[in-house]
Amino acid sequence: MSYTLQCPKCHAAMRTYNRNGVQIEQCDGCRGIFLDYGELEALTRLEGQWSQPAAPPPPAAPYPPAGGYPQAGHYGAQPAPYAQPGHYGQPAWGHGQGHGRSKHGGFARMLFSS
Amino acid sequence: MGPAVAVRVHLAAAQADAVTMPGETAPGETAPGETLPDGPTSRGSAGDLPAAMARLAELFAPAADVPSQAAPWTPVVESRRDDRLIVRCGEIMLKAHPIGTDPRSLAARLRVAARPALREVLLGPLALAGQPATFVARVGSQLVSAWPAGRALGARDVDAAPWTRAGALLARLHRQPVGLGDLATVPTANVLRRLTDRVTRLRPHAAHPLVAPVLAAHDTLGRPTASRPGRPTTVVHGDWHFGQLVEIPGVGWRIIDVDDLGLGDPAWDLARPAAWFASGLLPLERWASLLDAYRAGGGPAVPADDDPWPVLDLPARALTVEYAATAVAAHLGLGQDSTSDHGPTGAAAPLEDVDREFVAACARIHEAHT
Repeated sequence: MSYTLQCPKCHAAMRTYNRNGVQIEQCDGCRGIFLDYGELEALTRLEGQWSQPAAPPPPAAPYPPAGGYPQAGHYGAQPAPYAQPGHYGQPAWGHGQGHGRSKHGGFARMLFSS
Repeated sequence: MGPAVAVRVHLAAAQADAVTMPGETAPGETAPGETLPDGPTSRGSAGDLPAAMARLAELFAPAADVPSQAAPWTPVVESRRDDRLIVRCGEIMLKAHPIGTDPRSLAARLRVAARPALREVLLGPLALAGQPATFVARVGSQLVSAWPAGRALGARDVDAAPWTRAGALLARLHRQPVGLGDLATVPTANVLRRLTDRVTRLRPHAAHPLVAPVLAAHDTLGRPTASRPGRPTTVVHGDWHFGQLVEIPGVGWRIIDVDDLGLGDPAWDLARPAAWFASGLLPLERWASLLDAYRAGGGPAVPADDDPWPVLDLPARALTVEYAATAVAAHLGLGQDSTSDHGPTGAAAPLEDVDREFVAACARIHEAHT
């Protein structure tokens, strides 16, 4: 990360990119790519990974065990008012009970803009 | 054959990714071979840009489903946001990308949109006539792309939003195979540009009661990146919402706007709907129809039959913070010019109910992570 490679072909500076955990050096001049030992193999593994369903990563915050996400503190006092047949769930901070605010003009605008 | 328009293929730097066109010079007034301006120019004022873009329209080859038409068009400004301008000329939409857009990245993104394999997912850009791999021309200091015109959705269409279709389209986009060449040539998706900008505007006002919960929630994000360790990397749109769909008559729904498209964790494309749902704004049945269609289409962002929130939580938090920060920044009058020394400027916008929901969700995010 902190060192700068020089392109062996055109001698311009190479810039380091991180592609899903794999460091790739790419030349700013000729766009050539330098791979360290093992990186081609790592990229090949990534290439095969594109369509695989995600394995859940280790959560950043402690999640309660299976069975849903009890809501924290006084924000989540209400029980989930619906069955969750298709694993919709919600996060620990969620208020996803859908209390009909979708008719609100502000929400309608938000649906269609950045 | 249309009127003679002086055009010079701009080979330097952009590697034939763009064609240069004078921003102001009337057709026929520039001698062939004359060096044309392609850097920032004071001549291309906002008022001239639509006309210059309209002159460009005929340079783009019509797609099979866009009827060829004769110039001149009366350009209609469809949308203007900051320096991003969309002008309609008959059945062609011309988009002037924001000043400062990297020509090479934009060209790479447009080439993704032009892939035959994504023809039924992404709206394909129109190529310049006679240059089938060039999708950008230059007007003054701005890069311009051209697209078939379609029917976009707006706030009146809230009940007509195609949730199921959207889920299916995103699943297909995310299932586009990513090869070794893509890892080197397709840019990283711009999923955090707005978040970073808005939070930067709020930082000087950290003690404000509306700002504090937003920054506290932002602190729970760590340092998010487009690609995430242990997650799939796919082509992602990078700024998906229902304004990014158009319906082409007789063709169907397509995803538009590739300015932020690139490689990243596909969960980012579900981040806005996930934030709407988690913030209590989106009824479960709509969220479910999007998610069900995405899963039915084999979308790789969420587990097919398990809790999606371990993977959606971070993107949903990030977009919740972005919505709250955007609203609070506008409310406090912290406009684009927040780097000036004049403190808050611009007209303050009232905080709407939905904005308060996002700020409240920020407080819950902070609460849930302490």
